[in-house]
Order: sequence, then C-alpha cells, then structure tokens
Amino acid sequence: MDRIRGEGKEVFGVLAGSSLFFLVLFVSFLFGGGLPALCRLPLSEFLFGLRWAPEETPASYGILPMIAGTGLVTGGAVLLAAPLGILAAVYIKEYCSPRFAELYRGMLAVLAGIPSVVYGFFGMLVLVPGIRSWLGGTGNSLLAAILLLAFMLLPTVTEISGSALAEVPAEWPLGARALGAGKIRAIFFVELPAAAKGLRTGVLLAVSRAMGETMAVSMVAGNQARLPGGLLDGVRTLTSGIAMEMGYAAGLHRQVLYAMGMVLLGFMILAGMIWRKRK
Amino acid sequence: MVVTRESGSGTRSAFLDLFELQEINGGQKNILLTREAITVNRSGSLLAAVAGNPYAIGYASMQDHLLGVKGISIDHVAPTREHIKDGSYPYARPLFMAVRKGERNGAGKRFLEYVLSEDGQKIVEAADYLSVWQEERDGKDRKQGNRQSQIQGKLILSGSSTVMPLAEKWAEGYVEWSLGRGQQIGQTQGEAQAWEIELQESDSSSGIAMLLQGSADVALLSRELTREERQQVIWAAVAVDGLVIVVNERNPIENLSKEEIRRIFMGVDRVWTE
Repeated sequence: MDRIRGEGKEVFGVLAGSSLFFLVLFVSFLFGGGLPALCRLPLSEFLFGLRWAPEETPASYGILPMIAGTGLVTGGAVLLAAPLGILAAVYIKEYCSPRFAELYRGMLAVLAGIPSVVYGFFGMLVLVPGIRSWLGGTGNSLLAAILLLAFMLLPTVTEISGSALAEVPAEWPLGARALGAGKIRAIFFVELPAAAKGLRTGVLLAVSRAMGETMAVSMVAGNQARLPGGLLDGVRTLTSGIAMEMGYAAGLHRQVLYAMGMVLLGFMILAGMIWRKRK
Repeated sequence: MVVTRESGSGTRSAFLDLFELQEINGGQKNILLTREAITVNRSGSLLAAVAGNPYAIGYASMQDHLLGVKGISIDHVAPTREHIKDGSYPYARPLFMAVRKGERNGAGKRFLEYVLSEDGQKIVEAADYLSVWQEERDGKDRKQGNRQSQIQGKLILSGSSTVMPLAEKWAEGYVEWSLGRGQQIGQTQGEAQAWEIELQESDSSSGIAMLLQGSADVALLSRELTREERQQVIWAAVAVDGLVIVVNERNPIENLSKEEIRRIFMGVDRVWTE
C-alpha cells in the first residue's frame, strides 16, 4: 500500500512546489518593489490620502480614492452578479427543460471565455452612451463599471453555482417536498444551504476577478483619481491606476505603484480569510 | 465633459504647458487641470471619447486623424501649418527623438542621423508636419558610419503615439537611405541589409524609459526631455507639430479664446450644459 502511495510522489511534489515557488517569487517581487515606498511615505498619507498627483511637486500619493474605486466597483458588481448567478443556476437545475439547460450552459461557456477587452468595447459603445442618454452625466461612471463587471462575472458565478447545486444529494430537497414543503421553500431552505460551501467559492472567485479586472473597467469608468460623488461619477480603480502609469513611472512613483499592488493583494487575502471564517 | 491623456503623455505635457495649466512657484508645481477630466491612454482613445459625446472637449496633435471630431480655432486663428509657421497659432511643440549614448551598435545614432538629414526632413514636410533644420544638440560629428558597428538586424522604436505616423515613414525611408550611404562609404554588400524596424506605440515617457532600460533603440517623444533624461541620451528635435483643441463634430462651437479653454479644462466653466 505504501509503495503505491509513494509512487510519483516526487513528480507531483515538484509540480505542486512550483506553484508555491511562483507564488513566493511573485509576492517577494511585489513586496521588494513596494516596501521602500511604504518606508518613504507616511502610511496614513498613502492609504488615507485623498489626493493622487504624482506629477506635481511636491507629489501626492494618496490612494484612498482608488481604494474606494476598487471597493465600490467590486462590491457593486458582486452584489448584482452573485444573487443573479445563483438564481440562474437554480433555474437551470430546477426549472427548465434539459435541452434548454444545455443551450444555456453552452452560452455561458462562450460568455465566460470572452476577453475583457471585448467586454470593454461593448461597455464603451453601448453602456456608456446608454447611461449618458438615459441617466445623465458623462456615461463614464461607477454605474457603467459596476454593470459591466457584473455582466462579466455572471457566467462564472452561474457555472460554479451550478456545479455546487449538482453536488447536493437529490434526496434532500425531495425529502423536504415529501414532508410537505413547497418547491420554493425546498430550494431556499434545503438546497441552497446545502450547496452553500460551493456557492461561497463561486462568489469568492467573482470577488477576486472583480478586484483584478483592469482593462474593461478602465475603458468605461472615466478614471478620475478622486472620490466619486455618486453612481454617475467616474472612478479609478487600483488596477487601472497601476496599469495607466506603470509604463513610465520612475523612482518613488514606481514604488508606490508596487505598493498599490500590495494593497490589492492584501484585500484579496482579506476577502479569502473573511470567507473562510463564516462557517 | 473634459477628456485628457494619461500622465506620461507628451501631448498632455505640451498641452498643460502651452495653455498654462501648470502653476510653478519656485520648487513647487501644481497642475490646474480639473480632477473631473476623463483620462484615457493613447490619442486614438481620446479622439474616440470626444467623438462619442457631443459635449466633449479634448486635445490632440494636428496630425491625428480627426474622425468624428473637429479642431477649433483659438482666438480666431485656425490651426493650420501656415499659421504655425507665421506664428499666429502658437500652440505647437517640437517632437523629439532620443538614442542611447555610446552604443557599440550605433544603429540608433545612424537612424537619428537619417531623420535629421534632408531626406528625413523631406518626409516630415510631406507628412504635413513641420521640419526642423538644426544641428544635433550634442554636437555629434557626422562620422561616416561606424565601421566597427555590427549591423544588427533589428531596430526598435518606442514612444509617443503622436510621433508614430512619422516614425513609420522614416522606417521605410531608412532602409533605402542606409543602403545608399553604405555604397558611398564603400561598405561591402554584406552589411547594411535586412533591417527589421519595429515600432512600439506607447507614450513619450514610456518610450524613453524603455530606451534607458535597453528594450528600445530609439525613443520618440512629443514633450521636452527632462534634465535628467537629457544627460543620459543623445537627443534632437526632429519635427514640429501643432496642438489642436478638438470637440465633437456636431458641436456648433467653432472658436474659443485661450482663456475660455483654460477655464473649461480647469473645471471652472462648463460651457455646454453638462
């Protein structure tokens, strides 16, 4: 028995190790680049400063507006995409014909594979002018970013929720029905809670993707480096901020951009930790 | 709705400079551009943004393909080459090219030489920019080709999207030119061939950053080089380009004064209901 278990141990070990290795490499690269900035700048000015003006003298490196941007865009998008995605998965499983379910899943797969830039184009050509005509403002807004991002997250959340729901033993909701519960009650009080772990994973994945999305968001959000006053105001996210200025930033500016990456990483870890706590 | 370019853009620097949107007191520099301005990368994106919104205003190079937008007169002077030449339209800036100092290769320097030559400047005029006739700033002597230089197969040009269209034409002309020169100075047929010239469009600041890092051979800038940059490279002004304020083509406004433009971009005035 031991022999069988031991076979291939080295190979798989190395492969697993390489992922870990890359993670460590990446994190140390990020920290190496960003830590100097945190030493040179007072932390409160960096994390809570409201003014982002690297080209001025003296330069301001307040990233609070961008933290808010990332937070609002991610939060808004997930708030929209999570319920919709989960309920869509419920629909596929419980309500629609098998043929349609196949079709739907196929469509989702296609949507999930579309590159961000293409979503961004869609946003620019349809969403932005639409918001401008119907709701006012310039169209390049927090709302545009949230809607677009939610749109991008939906396929992923739906697919993963679908898998999670499929894991639930069929007897459980059936049992609830047998005991007299209506279909909706069976779904909401038995099936969904049973699938909760998998559903949570889907949402976490959505959160990570939303936090990291750069291209599409920067094409529709306006990229103003200041706190938005409302849904129709433009925002800049941490990711867009890094992407736009990384090409030419030098010295402290560059280090600050790395530090922003560190902040993002920190948020992702935080999100993961919170999720795990809520058992 | 005000649209602007990203921080590293030379067009943006030139714009802020020419329209006095930077406050410089002693060691301090403040930027007066409104914080509400929509920021985009690339001149193409800026033009697309302005074309997409009837209330938008932005700025671009005179050379950019004005599709869906139009340039406006400033203080009743239209943005044309003649007006730039005679000085009535002062919103123009030189475009720069930089190459590394002391290269073994010398390829970058030779390209710069070409660009500043009569042939190179003819291309500038033909492309509707304005040419610049001046000696290279560092007084580099026009040694007829570095005999020791290995003629590598690849030359990478990187930088401002404004200068790119010119760079393309120069790239085409360069091969012929160096072939011609090669024959003049008696190089063997084996050299001076198979140039692969690669153009990478980004912005002025990225271009020079890449030059200094070694990932590009020639940098193209639409802004002045900073003091630190000047010390590290060989550079020259290679053309002159006008800056144009653009509005959506459906916008009835044809002219604005410089002061009005400043106020709009500072966020003080919101001329058209926005």
